[in-house]
Parts: sequence; C-alpha cells; structure tokens
Amino acid sequence: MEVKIESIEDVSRLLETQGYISSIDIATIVYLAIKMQRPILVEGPAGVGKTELAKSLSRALSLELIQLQCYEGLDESKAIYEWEYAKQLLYTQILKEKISEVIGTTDDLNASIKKLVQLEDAFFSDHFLLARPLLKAIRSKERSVLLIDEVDKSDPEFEAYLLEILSTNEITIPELGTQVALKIPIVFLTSNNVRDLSDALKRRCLNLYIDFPSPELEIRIVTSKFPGLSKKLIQHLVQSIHNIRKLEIKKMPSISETLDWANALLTLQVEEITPEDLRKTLGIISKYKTDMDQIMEAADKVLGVSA
Amino acid sequence: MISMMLQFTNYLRYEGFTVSTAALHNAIASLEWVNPVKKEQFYAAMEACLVQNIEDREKFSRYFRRFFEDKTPLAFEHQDASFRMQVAEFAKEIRIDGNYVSHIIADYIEGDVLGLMENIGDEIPFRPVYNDVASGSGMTKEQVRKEIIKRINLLVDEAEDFATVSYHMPRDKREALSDFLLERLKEAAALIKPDPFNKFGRRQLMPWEKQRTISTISFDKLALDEHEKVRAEVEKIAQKLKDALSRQKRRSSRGHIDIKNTIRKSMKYGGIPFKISMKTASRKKGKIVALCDISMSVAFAAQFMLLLLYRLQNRFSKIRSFVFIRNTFEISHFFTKHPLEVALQKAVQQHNIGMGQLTNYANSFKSFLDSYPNVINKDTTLLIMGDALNNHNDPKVEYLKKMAEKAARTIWLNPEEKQYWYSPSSAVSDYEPICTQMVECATIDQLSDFAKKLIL
Repeated sequence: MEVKIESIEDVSRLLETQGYISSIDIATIVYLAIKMQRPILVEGPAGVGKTELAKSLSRALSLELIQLQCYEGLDESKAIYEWEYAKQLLYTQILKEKISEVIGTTDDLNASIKKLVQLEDAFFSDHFLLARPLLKAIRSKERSVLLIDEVDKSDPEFEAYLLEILSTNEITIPELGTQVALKIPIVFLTSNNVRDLSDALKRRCLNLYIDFPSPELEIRIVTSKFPGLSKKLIQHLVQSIHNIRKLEIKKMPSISETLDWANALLTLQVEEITPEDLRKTLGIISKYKTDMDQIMEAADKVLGVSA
Repeated sequence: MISMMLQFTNYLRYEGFTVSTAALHNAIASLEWVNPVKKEQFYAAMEACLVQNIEDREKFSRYFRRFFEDKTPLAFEHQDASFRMQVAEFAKEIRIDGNYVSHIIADYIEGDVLGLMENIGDEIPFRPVYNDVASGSGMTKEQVRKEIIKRINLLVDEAEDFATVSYHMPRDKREALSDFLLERLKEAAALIKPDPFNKFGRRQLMPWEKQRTISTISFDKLALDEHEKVRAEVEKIAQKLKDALSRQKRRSSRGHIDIKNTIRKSMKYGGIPFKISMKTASRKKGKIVALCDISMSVAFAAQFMLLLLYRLQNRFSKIRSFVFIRNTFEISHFFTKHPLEVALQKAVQQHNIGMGQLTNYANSFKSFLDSYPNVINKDTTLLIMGDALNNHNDPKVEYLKKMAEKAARTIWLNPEEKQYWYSPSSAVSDYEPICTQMVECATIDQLSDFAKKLIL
C-alpha cells in the first residue's frame, strides 16, 4: 500500500524514518517530482547520497525499486528489452514438426510464407520478450521507483532512448507497439558529471545538486546513524572531515566516508580523536596513498590540535 | 504569480541566462505545490526548474536574490498570538469597505501574497483566476495597481494610528506592530510599482562583456579569465574524443562475425548457431612522451595539451611528461600525486627550472638525452610542444635527430601561428625536416583536430 505524501515536511519525515536526513532542497524537489510526475536528475560528488536518496524513498513509500546501472556501452537490449533469441530458436526446433504440419498442406512457396507470417506473432510475443529495467518500470502494475544510476557513464546515444521514456512515459517496441506506463514511476537519474548530459535530457528533469553537507546537517546525519557516539566526538569528527575537504587532495571524503569513520571510531571505542587514531583509521577516509600522506602531514590542522 | 515568474525569467534572460520555455513551464507548474512565501522551498523549486547546468547555480543564486530579496513579504511567525490578532484586526478594518483593492492589501498584510502578485507585470491572456474577488474586479492590472498605490498611501497614516491606540499591548509591542504594518505596506507598494526588470530580450552587452569565440583565439592572445573557459572546453573535447573512441570500439566489435568460432560453438547445439561470436579488433596502445616548452610565450598551450593528454590517458599505455626552458625535467610524478588541475599548476609553476630565462632547445634536448636515455623506444610517439624560438642559439639538430630515430614518430606541435614560424630567431626550418610532422596548434580547434588524429 503506497504511503500518501501531502507536504514537503512529509517527505523529510518519511526519508528520516529510513535514516536519510534531507536538506530542505532535497525534500522540496523530491516532493515536486512526485506531484509533478517529473524525473529528478541528481548531480553531485560521489558518496553524498544520490543513490541512497532513491533507495530510501522507495523504502519509505514501500515501492519496488527498479535499478539500472549505467556503463559505457550500455544499449537498449540491456536497458529496455531484448528478444530471447536462444529461446525462440529452441522453440522453433521443438516445434519443427508442428510448423511442418502447418506448412505441409500448402502447394506453393507464397502460400507457405503467408502461413508462416501468421505464426510470426507467436514468436514475437510477451513470452519471448525479456524486459529490462526501463520496460519493467513502465509495465509495473504498481507504482515503482526507477533509479537510472550514473547516467553520465552511458554513451550519448543511450540518452536518446531515455528521452522518449522520460517525456512520455512510453516505450515503443516495433513488434508489439507502444507500451504506455500503467503507473508512472518516480524516476531518479544520478550523475557524477563525468560528461555533460544533453540539454534535451536535462530539460525533462528537475535538477537537484547535492553537495557535501553543511557541518550542522552532517552532525545530524552521523547522530542519527550512530546515537552511541558522544556529541563532542561527533562534532570533532565532522569538523575534522570538513578540514580534510579543504586540503588539495585527489578524492575528498564524502558522507559515506564520514559514516564509515564514525563506525570505526565507535568500534575502536575512541573517546577523543588523536593523530594516532587518525593514522590508524586513515584508510577509511582516504583511498589514495598520496592523499593519506597529505592528511597526515596536516594532522594537527585537520584535528584542530594547537601545536 | 505567473506574471511574476515571466518577469523573473525575462530578467534572467536579460542578464544572459538561458531559460527555455519548458523550464519556465516547469517553474510555473511547481508553484502549485510550493509556498512562495517560504523562501527556502521557493528557491529550491526555482533552482530545480530553471537551472540546468551546475556552473550556473551561483549566478542563479545572485540573480534570484537580486530579484526577490526586496519582494519577499516579512514573516511574522515569531510574533505572539496577540500581535497576530491585532494584525488580523487591522486587515479586517481595511476590508470593511468591500473594495477589491482593499481585499488584496489586507490579504497581503496577513501573508497571502497571491492577490497582489496576480496584478504584477503585463496583462497576460492565460491568467488564471485565484479568487472570486479578483474575477469580479473588472479592472485592468494597470488600474488595479494605481488603485493599490493610492490606497496604500492613505493606509500608512491609518496603520500608525491603529498601532498607537492598541493600548492593551505594551509599548514596545505597539511600536513593533506599527513597524510591521508600515513595512508590509511599503513592501506591497514596492512590489506593485512598474518594474525596471520587466523588459524582453537581452540587454545590449558592453564590448568587454561580449563573449569571444575562444575556440579560435590563439592561446597566447587569451585574456586571463578566458583560461578557465578554455580549460573547460578542453575537458569537453576530451570527453567527445572518449565517446568517439568507445563508439569506434563498439562498431569494430560488432562489425564482423567470427565464422570459425561461431561454427565451433554451434556444435553444442547440433549445428544451430545459438551463440554468435564476433571478431574483436584489438588496437595496440602507444606510449606517449611529451616534451613541453614552458617559457612564458607557450606555457598555457603546454598546459592545455597536457590536460588533454592526461584526460585521454586510458588510450595510451603510458604517458611521460617533461618540461623545459634551458634544461629538461620530468613532471610525470605530479600527476600521480595530485588531481589533474593541481598537478598542472604545480608542474608548470612550482619547479625551479629558471622561469623567465630564454629558451634553449639544443640544451634542453641534450639534457633530456643525458638524464633520461631510455625513455623513448620504438613504440613511443614523441610529442614536442614549443614555438621553436631558439633565441639565436645553435639548434644542434643531432640531438633531436637522435631522439626521433629512437621513437616511432615525432610530432611537433607549434602554438605559434604558421606565418611567424620562419622568423630569424626561430629554429623551425632546422627541426621541421627531422619530425614526422610539425603542426600548428595555436587554438582549441587545432588542438582538438590534432588529438583526434592522434587517437582515432
């Protein structure tokens, strides 16, 4: 049973029940997307909760999450639908004799072809159609959340396939005709800005940019996930993460790294973060050796320890 | 509210911001669901609908503030119940005459802005009706506006008197009430006055505001603030080339059926080709050694070339980069330690190789051969980026010859326009015959053409 959403505050509250603390921007745009039945294009650095937003919303609304992970070379057969070639071939082999019977009574080639054409529909029917995520979302009898993840990693041609679906909520299968969405899904597209998406795609979406959160919001996020950590420690942890983000490093720690670090500190039962604790847990915050070196060099500055 | 949105988009367009009709349509549709009085909600909705590029967010925020800052009604949520009751009482008094205009002002004072906003801007044919009073007014917007301003002028004194005689409130509350009512009336008057932003089309840009077509401007003629734009443009070229590469790769992998393999696989299914094998053409990746002159005349061109090369590094098995003025130094390690943008800056600026000195190509080539004798091999494409202005030094072509002999090919990218190549201080005529190719690479378009030929 779908949960009703009547206000922006409802969105915030529902997301919060799933452990997703949203800013006013996020809640407003998700609310608008639901009410206006528009897709949301979520952009922002890796690890700020773009994918998690779609997942949390699907859980909060008790809707099925249909996910399409994009990659270079993704085409319609992996994203929309595919005819099961092997299954069709197998059936023709099994039904060889039956087909011979149908054709057997005819006198000439033309008549045989006409009879075969009548059989064609049987081989291009739902039975042999392999629905991929996009078609699945369109055909779903219940409303679903469709997550098209990292759309910027797909090729520009793939965007063209998305345009029809996003603007009209339809998919055209030449052999079967146009498939209209039974229930319009809530669509999320996420992008890390690997490449510029086309204006045509952006125009069809509500644009949401999720940046690294403010210290206050990040403190709320950590507190909600790890209520066992002391307020003082959480403040110190978040401030340290913000200090690290000011360094010139390859990969800035995102919310997921903040949460992993908080988890590690909780596991190690740390009460106050010292440079030694930072060194021990550095692998959680940073993924590059050069970044780790930089962070350790500036450890005092990062932890706000006066020399 | 719709006319206000039209005004706002006109203003954005006037300032050179691109707002499509579809985006405007979305923004108007969103108003049904967000409360324009709640600033944060309203801003989030407008940004989601009107801003399509991340880079435009800051600009949008500035324009939004400039346009709406003085037009957002004061909130009085923090005031207590008696204060609100007095405000409602004043609004009730205004409404007594039953006039349409009085209703709009009273609504505005109580926080309902729609009636007032309805009458901002020009007459529009598809104006929706928000309340019955509006539909029954029978006045044009212009007439309503005049009436509102006239009525507000009268109400200013009344508001002050009303607050003064609200004796059941303490003095400070009475003063706050007076301030609030006056502020509200002032706001409404400001909002309804003809707006300077209500102009269609773009304003005439000043000569220094006009955008130059950066793709055709020589790197050395770029203004400082244009370097960032060129950098963004180079990133786009890199992405386009990557797309072209992946398309090429896909085409090549689905182009030809591998008959031998397909027949072999079909044996499992009694000779029926259930699985079709395709031939995948593998292309050997080459190694790049880039030598860049970073003297003042060509430093930026070198940066842009390196940026493009490193963005395309997957296409090559290895890239090693060197910079020179009088001696050659390797800078590849900067690219492993820092993000590309930082690495480029550090590589070109933060090493001590005598910035400001005159370039000596012969010396630099010699120092390259002495210090890095085994860097070039038969798989290497040697790229030299420089204007070949050798400042009358002996070109000593044997060093370059030695390097070119070791490499598979030697390509010289000259950021100088071709007409200046053969000046007396230039060594182009000495070095050109040794290279496989010497190409002019003075603009983004030329750099893009070269990269295309290099990788596709």
